[in-house]
Amino acid sequence: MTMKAEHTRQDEHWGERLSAFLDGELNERQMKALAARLESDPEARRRYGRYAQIAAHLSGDGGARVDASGVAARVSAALADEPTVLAPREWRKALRLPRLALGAALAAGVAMVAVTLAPQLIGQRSPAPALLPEAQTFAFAPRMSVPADGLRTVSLETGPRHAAQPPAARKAAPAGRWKVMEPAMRERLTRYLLQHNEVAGQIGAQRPSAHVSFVSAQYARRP
Amino acid sequence: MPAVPDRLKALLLLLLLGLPSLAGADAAADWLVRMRQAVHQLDYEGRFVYQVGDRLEGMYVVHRVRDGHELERLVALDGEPKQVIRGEQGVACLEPRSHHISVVGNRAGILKDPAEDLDGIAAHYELRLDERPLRTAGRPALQLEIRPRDRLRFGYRIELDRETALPLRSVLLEHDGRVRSQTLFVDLKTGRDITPIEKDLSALALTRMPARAAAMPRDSRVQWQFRGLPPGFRLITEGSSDSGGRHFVFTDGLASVSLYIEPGAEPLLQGFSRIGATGAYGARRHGHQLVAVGEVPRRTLRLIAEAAQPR
Repeated sequence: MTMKAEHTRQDEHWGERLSAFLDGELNERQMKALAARLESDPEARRRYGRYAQIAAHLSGDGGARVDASGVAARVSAALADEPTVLAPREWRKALRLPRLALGAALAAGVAMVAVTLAPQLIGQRSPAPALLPEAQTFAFAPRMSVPADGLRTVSLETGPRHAAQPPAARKAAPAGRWKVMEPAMRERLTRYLLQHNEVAGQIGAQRPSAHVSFVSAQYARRP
Repeated sequence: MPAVPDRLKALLLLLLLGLPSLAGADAAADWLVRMRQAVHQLDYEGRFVYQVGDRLEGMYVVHRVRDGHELERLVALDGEPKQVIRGEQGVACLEPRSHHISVVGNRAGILKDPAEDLDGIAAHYELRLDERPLRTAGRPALQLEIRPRDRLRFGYRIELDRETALPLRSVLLEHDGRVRSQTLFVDLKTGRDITPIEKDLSALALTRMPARAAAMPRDSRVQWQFRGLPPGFRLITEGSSDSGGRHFVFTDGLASVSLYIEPGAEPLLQGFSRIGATGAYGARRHGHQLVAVGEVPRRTLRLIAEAAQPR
C-alpha cells in the first residue's frame, strides 16, 4: 500500500470516529484513542470542529442558528454520562484526564469553526406558509419525463397557489445533512432515501407514514 | 396471626395490580402484528408531530385502502409544503420549491405475512407489552416496548390505539435510551368520514410508473454475495436501481437497510451521513460505489456495506 493510500485510509478512519463520537456510538477505549489523537493533532481538532458544526447545524437546529456552546455541552454530557457497564470503575477514573482534555480541545475547535461558518449558516430558516391539508392540490404539469427503473424525476409546474408565493419564500430552503454534498450526489442520495423509505415502511410500519423523513424540513433540495 | 405491616400490604397490592398489566412476549407480538396490519389496511386521517433532536414539525396524513390498494397523502405543515402521494403503482414525492417530483415504485407486499418474522424478531429484540391505562392523542392506548438485545439495532417504544392498533406515538431509541426520533398524533380519525383521496385524480396520476421502467440497464457483469452480515439481518429482496446498479434490502424483521451498489468511478458518499433518524454509509469497493441506508446504528450500516463481495 502506498503512503498516500495509507494516509487516505487513516483519514477515513478518523473521519468515521469523529462522526461516530458525535452520534454517541464510541465506547471508552475508542474515546480514549480519540482524545489522544485530538490532543496531539491540530488537524484532527479542526476536523472535529467541522463535524461538530455540521452536526449542530443539521441535526439539531436545522440551519436556524449556530450554537457552538450547545455542541460543547452535548459533548461534555456525552463524556460524563457513559454507561458504567462499558468499563470498570478504575478504568473510568484513569480516563478522566484525557476526557477533560478532549472536552477542552473539542470546545476550542467548535468555537473556531463557529466563527468561520456562522455567517453562512445564520438566517436560513424559511418562512412557514399557513397551509391546510385540503388546500394541497397543485396543478401538476410534468414537462419532462425521464423514466427509470424504480424512479423517475420530472420537472414540476405548480398551480396559482404556489406561483403566488413570494420569490424569497421559494428560494429559502432549510438544510439537511446531505446539503453539504454536490447537487448530483444529493440527488442520487435522495433517490436512495425515497426507495429505502418505501421498503422500510412495508417492513417496519411503526409510523403513520414511511416517508416522514423526506417530508421533514430537515431535508430540502435547493431550488 | 401476626399483623402485616402497612408498607408490606401496599407493596403486595402494587404487585397484584401491576403484574397482570405487564403482558408476556406473545401478547406483545400479537400487538406488533396488529399494528403492522392496521397501518397498511385501515382508513385513517390525522395530524401528527415529528421530532428529531430538538426540532418539532407538524405533518398531515390521510390513508385509505380501495380495492386492496393503499392510497395515501402525507403533507408537511411546516416550512416547504412537501408532500408524498401514494397510488396503486407508485409513490410521488413533491418538492414544490425546487419544482421536483420523484416517483418510486410502490413496494406494497414486500413482506407478505406480517407474522412470519416473529421468531427472528424475538431472537434480537425483547418485546414487552404494558397494558396499564394510557391516554394518547385523546384515545385509550397501551405501550409496546421493543428492546434490542445488542447494539446493532435501535429500540422502539410505541403507544398503540387500543381500538385500532395504530401507532399513536412511536419513539425510536438509541441503545442508551436516548430518543432518536418520534412521531405523535395530535388528532386522529379512523373508519368513516376520511377525506376521499381516491377522488383526487390529478394527484394520483402522478404516481403512475412509466412503462419503460423495466427496460433500464443493469449492472449484470458483477454478481454479489454477502458474508459477515450483522447477526439477524438477512437479504429479503433485490432489484435494479435507477442508475444501472443494484438495490439489496436486508432486514432483521423490524429494522431494514437498503444497500445500493453502482458501477463506475464516480465518487458519491464516503463515510457516514444522516437525514433525521435515517443514516447512510458510503464506501468504494471493487470498483463500485456502495451506499447503505437505514434507521440502524452506523456500525450496522458499515457491516452490511462491508459484507458485499463480488461472486
